Amino acid sequence: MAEQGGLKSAVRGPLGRTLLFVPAVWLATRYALPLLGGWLASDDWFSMKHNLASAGLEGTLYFALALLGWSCWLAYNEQRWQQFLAPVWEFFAWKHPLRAAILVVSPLAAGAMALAAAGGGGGPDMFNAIRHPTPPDAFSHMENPFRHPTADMLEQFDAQLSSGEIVVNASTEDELVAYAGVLAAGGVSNDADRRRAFERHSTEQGRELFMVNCRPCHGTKGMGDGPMAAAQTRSPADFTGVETIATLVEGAVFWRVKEGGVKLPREGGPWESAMPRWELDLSDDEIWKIIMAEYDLAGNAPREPEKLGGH
Amino acid sequence: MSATAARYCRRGWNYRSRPAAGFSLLVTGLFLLLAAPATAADEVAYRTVLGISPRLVVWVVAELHLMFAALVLGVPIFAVIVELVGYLQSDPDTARRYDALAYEFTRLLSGAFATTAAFGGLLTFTLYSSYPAFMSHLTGVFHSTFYFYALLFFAEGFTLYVYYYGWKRMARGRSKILHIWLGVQLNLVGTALMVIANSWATYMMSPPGLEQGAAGTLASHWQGTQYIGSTWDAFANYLWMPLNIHRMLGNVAFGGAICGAYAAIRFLGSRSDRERAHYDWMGYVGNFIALTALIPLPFAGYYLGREIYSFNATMGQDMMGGTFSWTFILQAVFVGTLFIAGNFYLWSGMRRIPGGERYERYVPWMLGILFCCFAVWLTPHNLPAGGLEKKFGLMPAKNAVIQLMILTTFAGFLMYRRSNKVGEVSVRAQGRRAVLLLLSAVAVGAAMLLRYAGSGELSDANPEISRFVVERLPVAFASIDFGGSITWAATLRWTLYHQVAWLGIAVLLTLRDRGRLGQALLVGVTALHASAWLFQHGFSIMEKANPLVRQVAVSQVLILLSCLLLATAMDLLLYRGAASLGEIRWGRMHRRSQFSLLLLCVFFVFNMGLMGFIRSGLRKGWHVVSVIKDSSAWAGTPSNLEMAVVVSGISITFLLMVSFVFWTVNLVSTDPGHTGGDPGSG
Repeated sequence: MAEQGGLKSAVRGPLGRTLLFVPAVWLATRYALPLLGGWLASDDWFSMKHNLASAGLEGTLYFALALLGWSCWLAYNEQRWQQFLAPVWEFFAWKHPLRAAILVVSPLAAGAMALAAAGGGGGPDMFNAIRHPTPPDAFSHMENPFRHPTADMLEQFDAQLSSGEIVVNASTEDELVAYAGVLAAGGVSNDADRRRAFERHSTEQGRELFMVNCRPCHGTKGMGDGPMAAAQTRSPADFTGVETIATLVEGAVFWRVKEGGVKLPREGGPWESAMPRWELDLSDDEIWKIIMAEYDLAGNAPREPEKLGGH
Repeated sequence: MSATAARYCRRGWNYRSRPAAGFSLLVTGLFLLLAAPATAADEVAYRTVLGISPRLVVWVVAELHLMFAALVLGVPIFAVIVELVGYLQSDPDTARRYDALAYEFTRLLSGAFATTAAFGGLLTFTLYSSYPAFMSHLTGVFHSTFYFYALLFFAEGFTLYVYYYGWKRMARGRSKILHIWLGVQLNLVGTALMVIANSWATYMMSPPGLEQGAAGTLASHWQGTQYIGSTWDAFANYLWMPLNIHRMLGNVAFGGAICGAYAAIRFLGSRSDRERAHYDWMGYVGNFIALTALIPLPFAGYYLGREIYSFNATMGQDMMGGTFSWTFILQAVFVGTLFIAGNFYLWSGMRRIPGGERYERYVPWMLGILFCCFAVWLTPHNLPAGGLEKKFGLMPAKNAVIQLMILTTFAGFLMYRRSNKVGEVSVRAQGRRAVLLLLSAVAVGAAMLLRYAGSGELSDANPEISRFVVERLPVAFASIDFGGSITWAATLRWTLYHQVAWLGIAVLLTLRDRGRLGQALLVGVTALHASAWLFQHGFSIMEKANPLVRQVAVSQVLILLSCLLLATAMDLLLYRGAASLGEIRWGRMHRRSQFSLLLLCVFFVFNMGLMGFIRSGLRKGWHVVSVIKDSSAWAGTPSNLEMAVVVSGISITFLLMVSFVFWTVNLVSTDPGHTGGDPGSG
């Protein structure tokens, strides 16, 4: 083995730094990273809410990246690389029983770790999971009829409002009250006001339906925190924020409500969704109105396809 | 065997006949395709290929054809640029070296051309035999383009023959200019071929006349599944131009990486210092080309992705958040590795440049930045794990870090370029033309930014935009209350104006002989704008004004482009004629650096195979989206495992084949004396 001075320089050199760096990064990815994740996800450093089945995978990815980065640092400079390798070659040339012991124990330890990792699984195969299942083609082009009403629907709405079939009172939204006032005075309102009033009315109807059918799981504000939410393996969808309905076109949301968890495609799972198949209990019109209420409650708008460039 | 035949076998079937054979095969296939409507049996929609899944065969053959085509189309672009650079050199030795390098690139091309054509022919046969009904439809829509394609193929073949075989004869004087012109023609014809083929592929993804809410257009283009619109409408479909741009850049990067890998293998097998120096230089040029084209490639990819989303929101969702989302994580790994390998090669090369050690202290920082960005870039959004995916898994984070990776790579390039230079040359002292170049660069950059800031996409006059109003502006750790309300679009506009102001400051500093400071400030401010500010602000916009997210991405791209343009112009001028600490010691590279070139090539090939799968797979159960359903037994989207097996198989096959083709090219000569030898200062 190297002499005293050689050992000292090896410890201070690239190999020694490597022996410090590797466990330090491992500890950081194992313990510090989840704290950062908690803070990023919910402004709470110690939040464990998001540490679900695949927790630790990101840590493993980052650890592997850090090792790769460190290898690059060692390797791009020839002098550093040779300094790093010299003690390694010396170790292999070391005539000592400890060398044999290390050479035998190292692969055995690695094998044991691999065995433990292979046998310790049992959870769902998260690597197949995807965020957004693909809706059947018939759904992806659907438009919400209550967001894009026909002239007939609007006329019928006017008639119902004039006849008192639709009740306007103090609790009704401003747009609807104002529009009803114009209509009652015999005035002609512009089409934009009429559409806004119609959309508001449909959303109000949707909100009532939402409170009866959806609130138990998805919560009053659509945050996935209803009274029955805690009973489920996977939390019900949180409609606020940018990750769920905000990123979907309405047709996709309609499909998820109408056909529920049971009709999710097999690929891309495990979905673990307890969403009921609402087509058995609600009409299409009711589902569309509920969807309007969901977006409204969550302060989101459905995703619109962008304009095509150059066409 | 007759004496003539024997002679033919010895000499003729060597290099010159193979392009002709492949070419003949392709043209035969094309003409058979034209005959398809008359002979196709309507009852037979699908056939297997000798009992094998036709989908698998078409997948493999099409991808191999595309990979060879990318090489054949990408290499001439930089071969002719290198030739032109050589022609413009005043020193005859330097001119000869550049010319020899361009010739060596073209030599590789000649071997790959035949293979490309042969795969094209095979693909045509396979498609015609296996998917007769679908091909009948495609022929009905595109038949007139097939003639142009065949004629252009003649032109491509003949131009390449004259360009390659006439190199030595057209080496001097006016004939050299003619030769360079031929090289330009070769590229024009090649590009025309590519855009025609692209129109067929993109038509299948985004056929015109199907847009929602345009019933009139729908009626004018389709009757049932019968396309009755004009060929031009089908040709210039929605995804055609984005794919053209993406493939053009991709081909150059791909070609550069493959030439770099070829040089690396020759370097590793070199027997003399002279040979090693030559292939070191060739590898450097290959890597330079690959990285130069790689830098704008993510922008082109974003543009293509955005148009895919625009054409069909579900297709976009499938791509980024659905069925294909894991493949995009793989792509992130590949792209990150490409950046790392390219930068590693640059860092490794600094030691062969006298004075390079001055810049080595920055390398660990660049390495750290690249790997941190890489970590964010590959964080999957699919896994509900740890909470990091809540930020790092989303587009604002991805867009921010890719800008920083590009900027870091660019900074590495700048350091490499100035490694052996001392002092800063006054731009004013270089005369009016130098100042004009600088002002032109800043004018183009500022015009891009101002044009976008003033466009409808960021205009408050647009009611879609003015409805998103911000009272307090959230930033990383505090909120800024600016006493009033503005739109989210206005915050983006002001970011662009701010960048314009910094472009101006950088130019002013350069004209006052503080160019290095100006350049450093510009790069720093760009990093703050495109990566730090728009990272955080992008999340706020995503949360509060979701429809504006795409404007954030476009702003980031424009900010970065304006910086790259001006900083490059500044760098060219600041070191023009600067004192040198010594010549680059070509050949003094450690062997690991050559493996990074090989890695670059391998990952480019795998990435191309992967992205080819995604682009084509997005059609899912359709031959032509929303028009012709794929009702064959092989219509399902392959699993990620199947994709990995097939794409790996294709990539390995391509690498083996291209190695074989390059080996045959080198049967003529392996002596770099034929190809230029010692590159000198390069």
